[in-house]
Amino acid sequence: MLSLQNATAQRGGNTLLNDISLSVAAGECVVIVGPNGAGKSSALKALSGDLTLQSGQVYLNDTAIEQFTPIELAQRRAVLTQSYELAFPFSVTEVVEMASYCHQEQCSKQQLNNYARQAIDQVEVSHLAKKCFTTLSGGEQQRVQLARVLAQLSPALEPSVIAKQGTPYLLIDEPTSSLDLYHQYHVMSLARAAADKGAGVVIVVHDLSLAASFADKLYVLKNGKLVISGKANKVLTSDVLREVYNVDASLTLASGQLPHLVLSQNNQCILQRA
Amino acid sequence: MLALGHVVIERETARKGLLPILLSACLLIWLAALSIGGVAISWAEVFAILSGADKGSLQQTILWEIRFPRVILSLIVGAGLGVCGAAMQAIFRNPLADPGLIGVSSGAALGAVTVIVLGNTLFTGFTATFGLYAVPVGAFLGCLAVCGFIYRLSGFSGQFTVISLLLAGIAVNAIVGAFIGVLTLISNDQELRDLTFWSMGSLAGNHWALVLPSLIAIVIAIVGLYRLSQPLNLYLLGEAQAKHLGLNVDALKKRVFILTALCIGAAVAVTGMIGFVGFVVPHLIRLIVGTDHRYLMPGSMLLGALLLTASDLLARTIILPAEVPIGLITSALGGPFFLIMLMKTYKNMAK
Repeated sequence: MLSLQNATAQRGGNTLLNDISLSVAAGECVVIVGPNGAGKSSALKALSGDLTLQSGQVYLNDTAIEQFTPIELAQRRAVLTQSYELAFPFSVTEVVEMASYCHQEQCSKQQLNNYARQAIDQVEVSHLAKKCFTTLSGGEQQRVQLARVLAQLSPALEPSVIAKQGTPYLLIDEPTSSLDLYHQYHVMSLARAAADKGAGVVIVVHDLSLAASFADKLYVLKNGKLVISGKANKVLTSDVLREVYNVDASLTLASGQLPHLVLSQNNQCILQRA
Repeated sequence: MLALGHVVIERETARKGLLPILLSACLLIWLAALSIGGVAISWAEVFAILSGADKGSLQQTILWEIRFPRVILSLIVGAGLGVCGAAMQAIFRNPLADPGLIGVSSGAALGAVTVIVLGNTLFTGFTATFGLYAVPVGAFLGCLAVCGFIYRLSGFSGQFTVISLLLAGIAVNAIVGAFIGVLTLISNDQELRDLTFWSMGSLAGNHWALVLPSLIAIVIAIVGLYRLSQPLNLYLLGEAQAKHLGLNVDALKKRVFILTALCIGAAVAVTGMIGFVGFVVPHLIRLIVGTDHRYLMPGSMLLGALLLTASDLLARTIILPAEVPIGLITSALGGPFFLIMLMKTYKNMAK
């Protein structure tokens, strides 16, 4: 279990998180949604141990997160951030193989290269493997970074490793922001697959259709506070959508289809254009 | 980003080939530098002296006491400049960075100029104690003092961030520059000449007694920096990302800072300022083998050694019996060479 307990965080006079508690268990795919500035990314940063909390605590498999060394933490959780600043010409393979760093003691070089290759295959960028990262399009870069994160998680998903160090976690922030429709769903299903293999997965996304399609549990945040949490069909009701997003919409839940968000025609956000 | 060359050529081949080529080139230039000079010593003689067959001759004395320490010095200092340049460009995540940013050059200059200008008046004790070595020792101490000051300043807020390091570096460099200016102002003609030449760098007149301690410091720093190759790769992904991958980012930055200060401090102390090598060498290697520091570091080391030794060979033979300051040669040759490489790269990119 990875959990955030009564977390409050402030930065420069702004409250980023206001007494928020959330948690993810092994095999679970948790999605955090909310409008801009709701504290989604801050919650994810807190879970990955990057954010100093004014009060509250983060526990990873029942241990306070500060007790882990950077290496130990990296062996137990992988993080995909929203933006990256890589400006030097590494090749795609080199970027993905950087995931090996924290596992060098436990795994052989060949094993680690295999994990990297599998991850590259999974996100479907093997045709770019030798290309220079900085020349790729935004969406391709995003998928390569996801491959790196998956390669970091893979060794921790081996049953023997889970038995030894507990559930590993995958934390991803806006993985679909510059992806086409196919890859949006593909990437989300890769995260889902990691959960099926035993990881605890936390994803921040804006797209509520995607969120509803893949989440076991949704957390809706607004102004740093938790509004509601639970299963998608219970949480994403018209009332909640109006309250949180100021939008008239509802979730379609037809059998044989993925849930999808439908907006009514006379929405304030559209009518105001005059 | 400037001069990075976004073409990934067949790296595997380049990586395999480059180090042996550079290594043999270093060996050749080493032998050439031993043999060429005011007194020509043929390669056969060089081999005879090195193997101990020739003893007591004038050539042997020249080779052992003058040329050998000088060539070793140029090789190791060149290697150090190359490696530190690569490390600084990585730590600042900017291919335009050079070790001067953390105060090594200005600090060493302040130390050296202080000894040159005030050594006979204010610091007679210091000059008396260190004799011939007063300027190098002063330069090294100055470098450590200024680097230490910048280090403390940038860690002041509790976080050792690159931006605070950069700002502290710029401010302190300006202050130190003012001090040097004052000292220059009060210097007499001979002192002015001395400090001008010091700032252009020279490998001349160094004996084993001075060369050895510097070499040891530089070699320690080179080995230390080389061992940070993989962490530096991770660091280039971004600080947050590197942390997520298990890297202790603060410790890495501090280690690179200290090792670079040690290396460049020891180098500048014995050679004076040698510009451009630390900047241009990592660029050239990056064009060939890419950014991976496990290849970039040894490549920069060897090319730095090669470039500096070749430059020194030119510096001491081009206007015999006088010498050209080596800093002039490295900038005069390095600049155009770098421009040509740059244009070639952009041409390739445009295709």
